[in-house]
Amino acid sequence: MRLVAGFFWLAATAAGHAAPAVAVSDGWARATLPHQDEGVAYLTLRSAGGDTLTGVDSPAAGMVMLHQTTQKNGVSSMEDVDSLALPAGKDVALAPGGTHLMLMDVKHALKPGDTLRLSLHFSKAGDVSVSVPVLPVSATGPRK
Amino acid sequence: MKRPHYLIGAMAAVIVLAGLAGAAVLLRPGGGSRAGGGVQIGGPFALLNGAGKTVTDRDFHGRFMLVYFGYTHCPDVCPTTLSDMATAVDKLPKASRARVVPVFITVDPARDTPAIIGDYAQAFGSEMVGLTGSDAAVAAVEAEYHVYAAKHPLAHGDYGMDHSSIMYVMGPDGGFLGVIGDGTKPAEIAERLLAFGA
Repeated sequence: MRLVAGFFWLAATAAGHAAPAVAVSDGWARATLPHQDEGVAYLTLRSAGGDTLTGVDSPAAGMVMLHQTTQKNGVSSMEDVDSLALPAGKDVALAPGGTHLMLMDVKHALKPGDTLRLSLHFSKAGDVSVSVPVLPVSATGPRK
Repeated sequence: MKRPHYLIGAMAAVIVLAGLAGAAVLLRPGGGSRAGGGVQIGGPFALLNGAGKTVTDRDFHGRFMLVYFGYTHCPDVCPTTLSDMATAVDKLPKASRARVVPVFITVDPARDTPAIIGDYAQAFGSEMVGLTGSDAAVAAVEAEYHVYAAKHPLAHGDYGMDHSSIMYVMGPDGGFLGVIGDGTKPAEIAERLLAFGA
């Protein structure tokens, strides 16, 4: 498993039984400005035995959607994604310009230095809770 | 909002792709320039800055503009590209840096008021200028730059904007110099700006 920056990776607890865990790394969210009610979070998922991400919640947002940025003929668009397959033993990165967690109806502006709690729902691993750092609006990756 | 520029947008996209593929772009001096297909890119505009003051293309003459069209409710590709633009400008040698203005023009004037676009652009640093305007003023500048922009419904009655995601480099005379694709690394954006004479 990839080395995880422990200061933001609080816990990845499968729901109370010996379900196969999903490793979550490189998580971060982009800061929002006061007027913005949408935000975005990114992370990398890895399941040893294969799994499917079926949904995400956050106490900080009314709804979290899986979105994919698509580019066609130089035009950028966003598509809803119902679920995300995690092939066994492979890193699946949610990263700028690709698949991302879109936070809708953000309740309070996300400020750099805050942490964002996310609850990830997997078909096999159950619910996995993570906290990711909020980085400046200008951040483009987890290590900036 | 009416956007009667779909065809032009598609043509521009083809030109842009050709540009990205390294095809030669024929430059003409003066405000706006003709690209390979004989299509004019850029030209006069009158928009509003973060203070609500009218800003025109002439206010940027004498400097290079690195222009990107997007919207502040865009969570992914816009902040990523704007951050890359700001980082690129910061990487330029001091003299060049003073000659380049990063400019963010909204395609969503209904939500992006002057204060909002101004605060947003400022958050990226590098003295980035955020511009908005009336629907008509924004539609006019989109048409000049052959920018495609259209509403795209999302859950909860919210909407995103599909939009051309390209950086335009405009010269000190306002003329079009070329495009840089989004996803280009800041160091390469800086190199391209220097190659354009910044």
